[in-house]
Amino acid sequence: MQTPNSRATDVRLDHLQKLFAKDALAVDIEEMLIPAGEFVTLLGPSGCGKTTTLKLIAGLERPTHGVIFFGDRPVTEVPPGSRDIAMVFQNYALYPHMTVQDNLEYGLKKHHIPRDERQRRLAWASEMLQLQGLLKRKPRQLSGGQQQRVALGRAMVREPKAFLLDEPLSNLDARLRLLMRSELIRLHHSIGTTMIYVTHDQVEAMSMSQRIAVMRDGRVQQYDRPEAIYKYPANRFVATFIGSPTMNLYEGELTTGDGGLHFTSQGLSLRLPHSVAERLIQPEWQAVALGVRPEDIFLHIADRPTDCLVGRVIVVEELGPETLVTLETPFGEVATRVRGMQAIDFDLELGFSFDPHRLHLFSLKTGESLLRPSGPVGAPRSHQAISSGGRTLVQTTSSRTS
Amino acid sequence: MIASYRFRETTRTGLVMFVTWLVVLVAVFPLFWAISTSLRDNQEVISRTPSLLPKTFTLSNYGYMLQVSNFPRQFANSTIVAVFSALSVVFFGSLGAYSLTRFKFVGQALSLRVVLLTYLFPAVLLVVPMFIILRGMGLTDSYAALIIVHTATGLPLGLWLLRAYFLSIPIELDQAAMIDGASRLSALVDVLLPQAIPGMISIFMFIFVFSWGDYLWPLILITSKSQLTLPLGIHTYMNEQGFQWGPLMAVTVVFALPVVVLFTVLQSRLVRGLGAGAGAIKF
Repeated sequence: MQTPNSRATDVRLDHLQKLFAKDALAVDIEEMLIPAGEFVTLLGPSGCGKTTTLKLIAGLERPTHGVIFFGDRPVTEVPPGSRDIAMVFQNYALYPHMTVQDNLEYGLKKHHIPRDERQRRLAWASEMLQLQGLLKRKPRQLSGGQQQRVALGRAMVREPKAFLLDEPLSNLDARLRLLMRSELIRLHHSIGTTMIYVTHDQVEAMSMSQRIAVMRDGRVQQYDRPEAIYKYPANRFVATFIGSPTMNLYEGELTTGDGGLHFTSQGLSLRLPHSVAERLIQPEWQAVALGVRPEDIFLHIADRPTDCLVGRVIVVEELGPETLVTLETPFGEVATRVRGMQAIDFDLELGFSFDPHRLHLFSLKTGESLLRPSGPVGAPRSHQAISSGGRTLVQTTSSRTS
Repeated sequence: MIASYRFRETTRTGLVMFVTWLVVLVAVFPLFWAISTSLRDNQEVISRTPSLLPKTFTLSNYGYMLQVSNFPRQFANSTIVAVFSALSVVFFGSLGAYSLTRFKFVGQALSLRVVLLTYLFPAVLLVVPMFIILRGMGLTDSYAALIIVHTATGLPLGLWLLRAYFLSIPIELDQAAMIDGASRLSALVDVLLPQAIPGMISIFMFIFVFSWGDYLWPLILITSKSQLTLPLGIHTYMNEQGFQWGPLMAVTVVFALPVVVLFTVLQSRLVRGLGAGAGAIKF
C-alpha cells in the first residue's frame, strides 16, 4: 500500500447527526473512520445525505449532534477556512472575475503563504494539470474540462490535509468523465492525501475508491472495500444499488429438508450448497429474497443439461465485450451477462443455471443479508498499482471542449 | 405570392418604423424645445411666430443662470444628496441582500414582505411622520435629512432587486472562498460583490435619478436658500414677476445633463449586466 502523504489526516465521524427540520434527519452516522491517505467515496441516490455529510466535514454545515475529528483534533467548532481542507464543487465554483492564476492563489494569499512558496506551488500544480497556457484566462474562457482542472488545481495548491470532492465529474460529458476518472486516481496516487469523494454514480465509486460508504436516508448502509461491497452486500438496498444490470432478486422461503437447505418460490426450487448453508446467520425458516448477479448465471447455449432451469429469451443487448440476455421464466425475469458477442435469437428456449456458491440471501422483513462474508476480502486496493511510473498526470486535454 | 409577401413585409416594417419614430418624436420634442428655447434671446422667446431653431444663437441665458442665480450651489447640493443617497442604498441594500440570501433567521420571509409593504405606500403618507421624526433629531434643513429620507424610501426597492441578484449567484462561490480561508466579510467583498456589480450599478442609477429629480422631500425639509436642491431652485425662476423662460430652460437643460451623462457612461455595463443576467456569474 502506498504511504500516505505526511500531511494527510484521518477523518473520524463520531455519532454525527444533522437535522434540517424537526423530523428531517439528513445525516445519522454512528461511527465512521476515513483513514489517512485513503480515497473514500460516499455513494448513494440523490437526497441520501452524502453531500450534507461532506459539507459537515468541510464545516459549511454545523452538525446537530456529534463530533468530527481530524486525527485527534475535534474540528466541529473550527471554521472551514481553518480546517486545512480543500473542496472541489460540482459546478467548480471558480471565481468568475479572477484569472486562473488568481483563482489558484486566492486561498494561498488568504493563508499568508509567502510569494516564493506560492509561485512554487503554482508552478507545480499548473505543470501537473497542464494549466500553464491558461493562467491568464478567465474561467468563462475555458472549456468544462479545463475548468474542472483549475478547480482541482485550486484544491491542490493548498496542500490540504484532506480533499473533499462533491460530484466533480457530473458536469462533464461522458468521454471527458472517463478521462478525468483515471486522472483523479493518478492524482490521488501522486499526492497521497485523504480524499473524500461524493457521487451517485456507482461506476465512479467502484472504479476509483479504496473504500465506499453506501448511504441511504442519511445512514451508512455499508462501509467497506469496493470488492466486499460488490461480493457481500450487507442488505437488499446495497445489493441492488451496486451493479449494472442490477442483481436478480426472487422472493420465496427458506426450508430445511432432505438433509439440506432449500429455497422455494413459485416456479423455482433450489437446493443450496453447503458453502451457502454454512454462512447462514439464522438457519431457521423464514421469508427471504434470493439474489444472483447477472454474471453469476451460466447460459447453456450449446447444450442443455437435464437438471438446469429454462427460460425464453426476450431481450438481447450486444455490447461488444459482453452480451446482456434477459430471459422470461415462470418465477420472473432473469437478467444474465455473457462474455463476448453472442448471436442469440429471440423467443429461443435456453437452459441456464445459477452459480450456487455466489448466491445472496436477504431477509424479507429487514432487508439485511442473511449470509456472512466468506473469509477476508482481498488486500486493500492500492492506487500505486494503477499508475505505471513516468506518466504525466494529465494527458493533453487542453484542446478539448465540452 | 412572393411579391405580395415582400409587399406585406415592407409595409409592416414601414408601419413599425413610423410608429416608433412617432413615439420618439413625442418623447424627445419637449427636450428639444427646451434646448432650443435656452439658446434664444428674450425677444425671440416671447415672439408670436416661433421657429423650430433659434434665429440668433445666444448663451446669455446660461450666463445669467451661472452668475445671477444661485445655480452652482444648487447643482452641488443636488449632486451631493443624489450621490450619497444612491451610495447608501447600494451599501445597505447589498449587506441586507447578503443576509437575506445567505442566512436563515426567524421572521425572514415576513421582514421581506414588510419591507415591500412600505414601498407600496405613497410617499405623501409618510411626509408628516418623517418630518416629525427628523425635526426631533434636529436634522431638518440639511443634506443628511434628504439623504436619510431618500435612502429610506429607496431601500426597499434596492433590497428586493439586489436580493434577486444575490440569489442568482451560486452559494458555492462564497463557500469556496470560505474554505480557501476567507472570512464571511472578505468572501463577500472579494468574491460576491464583484459578481453583483451590474445589479449594484442599476440600483445606483435608479436611486440617483429618483433623488436627483425629487421635488416633494426638499420642499418639505429644506428651508434655507443655501440648501436648496435644483428642482426647488428651478422654481425660483417662476415668481410673481412672471416666468423667466430663457434662464428657466437653460437650467432645465443642465438639470437633465447629469442623468444623460450617467446613463451614457454606465449604460454599457448595465446592459451587459442585465443581458448576461445569471450568465455574468455562470461560467
